[in-house]
Amino acid sequence: MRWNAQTRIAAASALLGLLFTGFSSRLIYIAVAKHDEYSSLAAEKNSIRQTLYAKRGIVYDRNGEVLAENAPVRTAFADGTHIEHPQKLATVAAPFLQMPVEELAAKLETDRKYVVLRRDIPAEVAFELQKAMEAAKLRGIYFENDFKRVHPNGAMLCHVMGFLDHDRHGIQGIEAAMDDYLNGQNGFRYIERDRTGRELVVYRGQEREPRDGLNVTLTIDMGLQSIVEDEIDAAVKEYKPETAIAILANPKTGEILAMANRPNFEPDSIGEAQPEQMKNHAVIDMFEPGSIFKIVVSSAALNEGLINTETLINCEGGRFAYGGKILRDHHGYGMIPVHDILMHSSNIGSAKLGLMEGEQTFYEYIKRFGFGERTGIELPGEIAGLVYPPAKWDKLSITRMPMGQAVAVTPLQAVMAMSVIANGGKLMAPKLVKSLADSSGKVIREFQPTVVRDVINPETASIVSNALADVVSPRGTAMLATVPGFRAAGKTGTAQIPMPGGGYYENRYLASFVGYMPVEDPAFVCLVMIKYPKVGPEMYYGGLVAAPVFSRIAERAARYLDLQPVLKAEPVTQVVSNKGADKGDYIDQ
Amino acid sequence: MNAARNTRAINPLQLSRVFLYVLLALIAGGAGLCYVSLKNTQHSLGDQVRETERQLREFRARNQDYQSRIASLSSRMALRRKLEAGFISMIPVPATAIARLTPPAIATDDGMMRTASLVNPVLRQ
Repeated sequence: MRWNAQTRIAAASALLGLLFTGFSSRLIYIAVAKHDEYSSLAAEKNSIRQTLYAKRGIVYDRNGEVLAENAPVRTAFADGTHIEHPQKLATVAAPFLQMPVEELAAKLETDRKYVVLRRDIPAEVAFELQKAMEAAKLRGIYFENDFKRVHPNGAMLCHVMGFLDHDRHGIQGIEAAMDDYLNGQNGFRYIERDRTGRELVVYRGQEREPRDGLNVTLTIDMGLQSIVEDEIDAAVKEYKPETAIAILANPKTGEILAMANRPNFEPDSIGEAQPEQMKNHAVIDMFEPGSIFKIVVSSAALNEGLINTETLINCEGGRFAYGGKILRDHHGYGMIPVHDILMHSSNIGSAKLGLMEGEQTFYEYIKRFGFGERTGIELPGEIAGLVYPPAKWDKLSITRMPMGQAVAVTPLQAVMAMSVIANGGKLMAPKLVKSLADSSGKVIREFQPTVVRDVINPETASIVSNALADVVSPRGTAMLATVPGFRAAGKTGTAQIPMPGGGYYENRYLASFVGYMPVEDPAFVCLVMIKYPKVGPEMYYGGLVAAPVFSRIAERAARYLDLQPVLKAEPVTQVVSNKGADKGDYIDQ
Repeated sequence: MNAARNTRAINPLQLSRVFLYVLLALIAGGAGLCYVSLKNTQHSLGDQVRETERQLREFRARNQDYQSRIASLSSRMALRRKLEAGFISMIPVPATAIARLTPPAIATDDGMMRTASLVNPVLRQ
């Protein structure tokens, strides 16, 4: 073969053609055949799913006062694919993140694109760290906008409000009960970053806007809550009890106006709180109600027509033998009407009423008053209390239960039961949430008062109410519950505290008072419960410990609610004798 | 004759064709430059969008921070702290100093309580 000029040119062209065909083939192979593989590799390297956080809803009281709010903070996270010198970066960032260098370095030595380093970092600190990293020409730590829940009123109303976990989900109180509404829905956005870590906006992928949570307005009135908290604090200081509970509710609507427990905790420093401090005893604890329960047996007897206001019950002079046991009254009474049974808190009179009604009727009324079932309040962990059916009662139950033994109720159930008397016989469902609104303030849903059932007729309620009004008088067991200028009504309770293994503690009592005011047109029902008050002997009665707290709360609440006094205000000067006929240890063995 | 034949053999420059190629090259080059310029503009606008969004986020966060601080500073607990510190003081109004113009309504027909903080609808009529 002769290599003339034309042949050489043809050969060179063919070689070049082959070379470029090879390049083109490879290019087409990479660009077309391997497109999916390489694009996903590129996306994996540079693309990131950015969370767009929804704002958690704000919680307000009924007058628009902020109870729980969000404070903006930053969450620091590491992108391991951008970190070249983990040790150096850890040395720079550790003081800002308040972490040990070794711990931070261990976290930074990762290939993962999203490793949370620290939450709740103030915006200023995040900015300073960014500047320090830029100065050291380091990258790999980024910040996300986040929020921290703050409670402007601190420990006030802490058991109702509850708190959040690390994932910003409510795990107690309203924060937990209304979590689905408060939480909203986070959005997302797929973004790509350049080699310096900055987002390339033109390559933004799919995205969804966040939907902010709904704002929740509670029925709580912080003016009243403040009063209740003050007085419960004063009671705790005075009596040094194991626990103390106070609840204020509107009997006509079932709205909870105030709720306080002691001990309490700081919801913004939840890590320091002990489990015992976090318990909302008003709904998760049950107790033997003592003489408070006498309103049930009296109402039942009147409502069933077994007795009327004139019917006299033989109280056996203060000593009644039944079922092989002796039942005693603190003072001996003879033939007295139901009005006086309530006013003097006669155990024997109540037991006789229970016997008249019979087990089944009495049990039905216990249930109708709402005991033994959850009230349905918007708080997690509510218990139903303990009410055994008649089939499980022993021979003494029918005489013990009318005075509040052998039965366990929650403080909230006691409040709602007293509301039945204050509300003309209607049992209302307790309510803590008034309305839900979106972030623009538009009301999405309003919760209306709910009548659970008609428990007793209005006439019966009126008779019982008059008797309870005399309980709060110099003739009754709760003279210290009187409020100058107003007619208040209520019932004291003193019960021994049961031991976990059975039996009762010696000298440990639960002093309680639940009442309402004004009798003519009740504006609120208030329960005060002091468990194991450290007071002198024979001073632990509900009428001596809890009733004065009620009086102080009611007086201040009346002033706050601008209630018009109906009586001439006269200061209580009479020294009250021990009228604790509602003592719990009344069954002799 | 020879000179004319030689000139034809040199394959003289065809200006129209050159102009066409130059034009095509300019168009292609211009299109390329436009593409690059648009791409750069897109990226710089993207940077502006990102910066504006960052500023917006900052403003929102700052606004939220201020709201949270206002709520804390105007809360009852803050008021109580100021009272305890003697920064402010409150004097209770004695009952004798209160003049009632109209009897206060304890409850309205719908059973709702009239609290001191709510305006009495009767008085507004």
